Amino acid sequence: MESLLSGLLPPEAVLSDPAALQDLAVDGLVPRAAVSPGTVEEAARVIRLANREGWAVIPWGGGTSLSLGRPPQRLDLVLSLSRLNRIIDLDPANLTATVQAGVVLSDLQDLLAGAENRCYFPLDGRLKEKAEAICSDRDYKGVRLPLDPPRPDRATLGGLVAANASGPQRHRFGQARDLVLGLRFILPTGEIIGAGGKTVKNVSGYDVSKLLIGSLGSLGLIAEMTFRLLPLPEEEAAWAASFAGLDQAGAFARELLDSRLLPTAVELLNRPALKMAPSLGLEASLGGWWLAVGLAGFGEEVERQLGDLDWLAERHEARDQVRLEAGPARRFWAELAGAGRAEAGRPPVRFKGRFPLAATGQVLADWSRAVEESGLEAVLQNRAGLGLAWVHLPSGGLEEIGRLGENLRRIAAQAGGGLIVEAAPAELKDKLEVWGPPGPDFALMAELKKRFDPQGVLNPGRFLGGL
Amino acid sequence: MDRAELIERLGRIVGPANVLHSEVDRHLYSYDAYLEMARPEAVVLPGSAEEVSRVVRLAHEHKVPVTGRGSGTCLSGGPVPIRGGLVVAFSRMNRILNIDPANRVALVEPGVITLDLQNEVAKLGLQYAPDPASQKTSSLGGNVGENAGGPHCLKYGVTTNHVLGLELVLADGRLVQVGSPVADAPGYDLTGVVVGSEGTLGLVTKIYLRLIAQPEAVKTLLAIFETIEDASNTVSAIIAAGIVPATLEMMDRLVIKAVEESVQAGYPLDAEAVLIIELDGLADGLERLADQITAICRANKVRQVRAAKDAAEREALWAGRKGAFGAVSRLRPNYMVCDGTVPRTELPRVLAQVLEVGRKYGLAIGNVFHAGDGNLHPLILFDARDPEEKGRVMKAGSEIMRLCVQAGGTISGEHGIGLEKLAEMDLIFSDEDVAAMWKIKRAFDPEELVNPGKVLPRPEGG
Repeated sequence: MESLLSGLLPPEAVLSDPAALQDLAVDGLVPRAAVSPGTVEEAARVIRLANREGWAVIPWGGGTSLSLGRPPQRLDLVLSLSRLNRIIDLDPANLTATVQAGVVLSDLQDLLAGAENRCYFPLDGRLKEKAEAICSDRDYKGVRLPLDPPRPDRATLGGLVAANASGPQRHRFGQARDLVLGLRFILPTGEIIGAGGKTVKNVSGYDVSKLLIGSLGSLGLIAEMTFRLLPLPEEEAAWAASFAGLDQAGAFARELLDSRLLPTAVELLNRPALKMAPSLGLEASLGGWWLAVGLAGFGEEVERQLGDLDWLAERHEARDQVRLEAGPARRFWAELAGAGRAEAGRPPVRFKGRFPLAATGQVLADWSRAVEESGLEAVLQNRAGLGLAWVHLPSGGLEEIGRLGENLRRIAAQAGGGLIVEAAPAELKDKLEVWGPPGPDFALMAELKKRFDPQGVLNPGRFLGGL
Repeated sequence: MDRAELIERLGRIVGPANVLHSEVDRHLYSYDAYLEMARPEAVVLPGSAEEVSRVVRLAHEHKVPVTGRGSGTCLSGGPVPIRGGLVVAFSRMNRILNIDPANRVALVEPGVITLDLQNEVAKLGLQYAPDPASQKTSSLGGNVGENAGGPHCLKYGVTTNHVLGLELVLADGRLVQVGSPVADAPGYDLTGVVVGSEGTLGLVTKIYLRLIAQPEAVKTLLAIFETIEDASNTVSAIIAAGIVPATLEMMDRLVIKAVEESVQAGYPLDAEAVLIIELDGLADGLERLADQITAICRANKVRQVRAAKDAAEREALWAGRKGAFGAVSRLRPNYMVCDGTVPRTELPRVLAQVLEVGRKYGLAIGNVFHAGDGNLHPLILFDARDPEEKGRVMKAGSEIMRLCVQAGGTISGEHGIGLEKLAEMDLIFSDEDVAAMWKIKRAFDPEELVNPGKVLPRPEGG
């Protein structure tokens, strides 16, 4: 294996030191080698070789979503994207950016925040561009990719698109699915495929990108992506309040969501989650549940919404409330993204529930009761406008956690939804079906996998139903 | 099975009255808003998903192609049954099955007219955002097939961003649900692939659509310009100011004139270009934004900026824009709409090139487009009875597509490939790219019986 790989890549791009490979184990399975190709073509040659040799390959970005998925059936080669980290095209005026898969999210955001998007070349009377640019006089500049998944300092764009990862701001701005305009990927058979483009609208051929987004690298290796961007907002803020219990906090959330206000994020959280967010300064003793709201836009918009939130909070008998300006707000969201991160000693456990929006109150109430009865300490986090909730379990025995998982799944299923095990040690994954039962459209998915990856090269066994 | 037997057996599934097969009927279902025609063997008007499933199963048994059809407003030949077989027309499946405000979801049959759903949900203070200009007649099933856009997609995204799940009949007659009204169904995003596949992966029988709240406030501006350069520069300047309006639409003189003659929207006849700029969101900040935009227009030598005073004035401004294609058709017997999309910053330059193409081929070209997202719609006027002129139109259309691709854009923003642009697919896709699309097609429809001959150019092998 090593000699075959050495034929394709420079020596420093091939790793076969057993000790170092231990660190690249996925659910206990240690790869036989790891490579870090420096170009898309190099990566494609590696994939083609793997397809010929029948190797199982796991692509590796920042390693932040590797806990997601069933334990792999096989693992021969880890393909690191760390050297595929070029910014290919920043076009802030067009509000697009094209990057390679290994670019780290926060590095991109830093670049975008400083990108000049205020200037353009005007046309003269013959529809030709003049040589001199005109710049807008607005006093802020820069753009951003409105995606806020956990660990932006490590998560790579390829990884977060493959996992379709997002964060609280999904409430307003959507997820990778809504923000990817096009991508280039490598088929498991080695061909480099282009899909979509850098225009906002595009119905030229099938929307192949959609298949790759969220496919956990099981249909192709994402090599490059083009994203749509937004201008940085003039003003940002966060607002939070605590409530006596779930009923009060939930009623507040419903009224907020039914209003015409346009928050960027609405997160409903239980008391243990407060420990994760010290910059709020809310007292854990004050209430059972609390709510955090993100705001962005023109100054007037943000100010008006802060006022309305205070007024609403009073009507719903909030115990305590707090406003955060842009800087502290960003710090707060970063703290919250770390909620339930593992304590040293074992991998984290995180469940994600999905249910109809209107069932939110019922599911959260039943979930809290189930958590209470289990005796485990858990952080509950509900993306209140989307019908999604997470249970983070930083401590506790796997047996109890497994039982709790089954209970939570039953509750979500009764409400018309389901549960995904987002992170867990392999032994727990063996007990709980990670993705839940496949639906009636699974036959189509299996057919697609077979046609894209006939040899089972990419991530075999990790996706839904063992695809 | 001969034709008479096919018709008889179809009649047993949907009722004889719902199988059309006279010469006239076959002609009526042989075309859309593009130029090509092909007659089906018969037209079936099913009343339910189960009937669709049984019709398709029968067709599959006898290897008869099936092509779905909504309202026939497609601009690229999508519903034209180029290989004969059956047209399955969804005009009877036009029920809004459920509007669920608590879950922000609507469940509809594919034959529901886009505007009918929009009017219904508006009563509840909600909106279904995609608003193709043909919304008065287009069907939601057709919108799903073409991944329809519209002016408001600049801010709210296109159809695919609002479809949560689908029920569809596969090539062999199986009825499956893909996606879900509940967020984040695990597995591949089949919904995302079916939307925009131009009816080639299956026949959609139910659609779950996302509903969102109506904005608190809306402000609609009409900016009138003496030159097309000034209007273009205004678009660039608005974007440079960090403003993403809800819509940013441009029309040139030829279109303005046609629109005024047909719908009297109140556009000035002597202007070279107008912009319709709509802002929406919270009332707070909207006035400042409108002032900012007005100042930008003034800096770019606008003649006048009018704000719609009330809903009626706003409607009138939009009636003009949405009636533009129809209005232009009064000028000459035929027109061809191009649908190139470019990075928005390339728009002024490509617009100039499009006008040059018109001069080169001696053709009148009107321009009406979604300036904010770089989606051009040059309308080439001609008379199809003059084959020589029609030939020039085809050449000009193809050249405009090439210009868009050279500018980093693509050959279709919202109208689809259909039959029209099969030959141009190789401008943007390699053989391998197309082969990957064929893998998807074969996974859904291994024998190529569902809307065959569309979207994907031959050869299959990459």
